[in-house]
Amino acid sequence: MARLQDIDALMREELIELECPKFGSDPWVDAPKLAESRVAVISTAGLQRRGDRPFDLGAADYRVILGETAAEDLVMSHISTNFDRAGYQQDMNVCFPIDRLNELAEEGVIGSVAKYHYSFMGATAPEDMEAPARQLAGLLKADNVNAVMLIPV
Amino acid sequence: MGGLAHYLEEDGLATTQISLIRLHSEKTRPPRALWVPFELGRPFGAPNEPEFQKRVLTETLKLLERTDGPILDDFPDGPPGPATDDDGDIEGWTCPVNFGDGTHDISVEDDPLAALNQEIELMRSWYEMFVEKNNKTSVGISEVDFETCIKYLVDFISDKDTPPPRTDIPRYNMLKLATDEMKAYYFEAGLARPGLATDKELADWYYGETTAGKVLLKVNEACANSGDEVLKGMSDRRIIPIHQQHLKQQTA
Repeated sequence: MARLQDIDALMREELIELECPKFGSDPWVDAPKLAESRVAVISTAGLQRRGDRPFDLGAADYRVILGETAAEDLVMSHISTNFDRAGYQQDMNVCFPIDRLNELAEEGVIGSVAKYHYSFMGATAPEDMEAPARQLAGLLKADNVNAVMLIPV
Repeated sequence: MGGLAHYLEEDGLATTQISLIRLHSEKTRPPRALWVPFELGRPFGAPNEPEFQKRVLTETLKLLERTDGPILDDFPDGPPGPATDDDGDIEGWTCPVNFGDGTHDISVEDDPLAALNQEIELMRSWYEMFVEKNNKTSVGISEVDFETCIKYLVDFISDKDTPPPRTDIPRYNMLKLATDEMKAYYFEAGLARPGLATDKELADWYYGETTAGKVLLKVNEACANSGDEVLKGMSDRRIIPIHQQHLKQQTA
């Protein structure tokens, strides 16, 4: 479905025209072996703990999601109506695969799962997220994270 | 998403990611990305498909072991799920509530709140079945009770300055959350019926066939005519999704 030709024509046109930031370099950090990696998720699905502040229009800030947050306590306040939420309503793992990550850790495929995960709201321009993203880098390292799984919606 | 990868890598963290729009990843060149041919909103393909989800996750994580970046690989398979016909419609899925002539004794034109509440009550058992089965609901995100959200939406149609139930967030955001509440309720009621439906099938029903959809079109129209720039912006695609824009033309 996320093949451009399968997307509604109006939406497709917008996606094609969407201005993407240009980066002058290709940064690269060598990752540890998977079995030694401690993985955190950063989603742009506008996820939040129930009761936390809903995302606002143009929000560039993030919400903290504890790894043990129960499915019924995780909600989505993304401002966009233009992506499927029915999948998420049935199973959060379709965009926040915390159960699958925990299984991979139990199987020894990855080393461990971070304690804290984070969500932005992807409708915001990436440049606006730079400062909070760099702040997050410090927080992730403080949680001993050495591999970050980025998940769009 | 690609931007976040750049910032985090520059600050010393290895990243890998899923790409939903390949073109965007081609432009932003994140270090490691796996493009997946799934619907927007479903980066791991399908709900309640743990083995498939794990496969997508593992393939994305495995990119961390590569050294030849920037990498933009393609995931080869579409999501598991029921067969779809050429229009993308899922075979066998039926609308959870059929309102034949005679059941709709309250007109949305005469009394939108009563008409909407009647429809909501008719779907309540389906909604409750969803919650029982899934042990969760997306209703309640606004922290305002559902009935108050519904009443706010209806009141907004005749008076955009009607007091919003929450004043600690901007009015447009309260309005958006109220629409999310109603949509969540209807979608969960729709999902309670056997046969999985995607957003498109549910949306065609919700926006095009229900009283809720008619109310939303009126809310959208009230936003468009409000004279308030932010509310006008909301009426562009934040209340009625892009793939349902034809409904606005029908009512214009």
